[in-house]
Amino acid sequence: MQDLAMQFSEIIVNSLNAESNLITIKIEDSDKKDKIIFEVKDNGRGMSKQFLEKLTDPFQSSRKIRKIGLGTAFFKEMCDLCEGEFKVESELGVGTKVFSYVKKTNIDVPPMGNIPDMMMAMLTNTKETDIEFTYKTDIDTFFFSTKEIKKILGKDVKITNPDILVWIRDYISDGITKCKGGRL
Amino acid sequence: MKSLEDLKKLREEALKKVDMRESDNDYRIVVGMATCGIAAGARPVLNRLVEESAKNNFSCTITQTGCNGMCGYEPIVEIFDKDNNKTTYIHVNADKAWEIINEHVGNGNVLEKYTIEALENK
Repeated sequence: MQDLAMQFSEIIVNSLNAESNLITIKIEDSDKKDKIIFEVKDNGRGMSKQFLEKLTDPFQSSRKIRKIGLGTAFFKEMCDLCEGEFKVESELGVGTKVFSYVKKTNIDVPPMGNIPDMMMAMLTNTKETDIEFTYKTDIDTFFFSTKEIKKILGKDVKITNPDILVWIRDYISDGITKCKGGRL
Repeated sequence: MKSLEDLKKLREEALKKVDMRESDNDYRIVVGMATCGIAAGARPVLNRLVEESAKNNFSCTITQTGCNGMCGYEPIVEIFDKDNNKTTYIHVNADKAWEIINEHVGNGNVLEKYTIEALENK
């Protein structure tokens, strides 16, 4: 996992696979707080207490092929390494909330990576799960919702249409650039 | 700066494009996006596939899947044709993805040299 965008996709993919129909993602990149905060909330199937307790254990996974799952284990390791935190709340049938942050000035924090690319990849899921995405800095906040996009597109054009996906990626990229005060 | 107004125009264009094609989804492209896939570089692959597909108006859908147990071969791109015949491409990177989609989806030819059958025992 070379960058934060890769780490984030791990967590989002888990939500996508949990039969959610709405996923709320928030990334806050703040110099003032000296933190990069990453939060995901879904309304998927949730996890049992027993599962949650061993969440970051690599030898536990909901996967059917084999019982190994490294996603959250890697993520927690990164948060711990970067003076951060990784917290998960979950309730069966209700959904899951992930709260995490890393200390921005910690030397071990990976580069942010390409967030618009990551978001585009996350949108190519067959279930067309709705995603709300917020990117916040000390300067500005950018909000994006697939519901809004779907409303404009109507029934005839799907959000997974490649032209639309590329547009969304550039739209998010513009939004993030604006939040960074025009700097890339 | 892009605005949601642009999206309305894009929608009209997308509708015209779909009309131009004989059918909408001749191919289904699936990219593995589990820990193994992501770590191996599946995201640039998926992105290149989407970009190429948009640029050339290819008749395909692109989706992601989880781990199928062949982590050592990631990034894996599977292409299903209309009759659900599967071709599995392994160790794909963004450049190979470009070649694969143009040859397989664009020209309708399986690109043997990147398939699992060609690379498995090397």
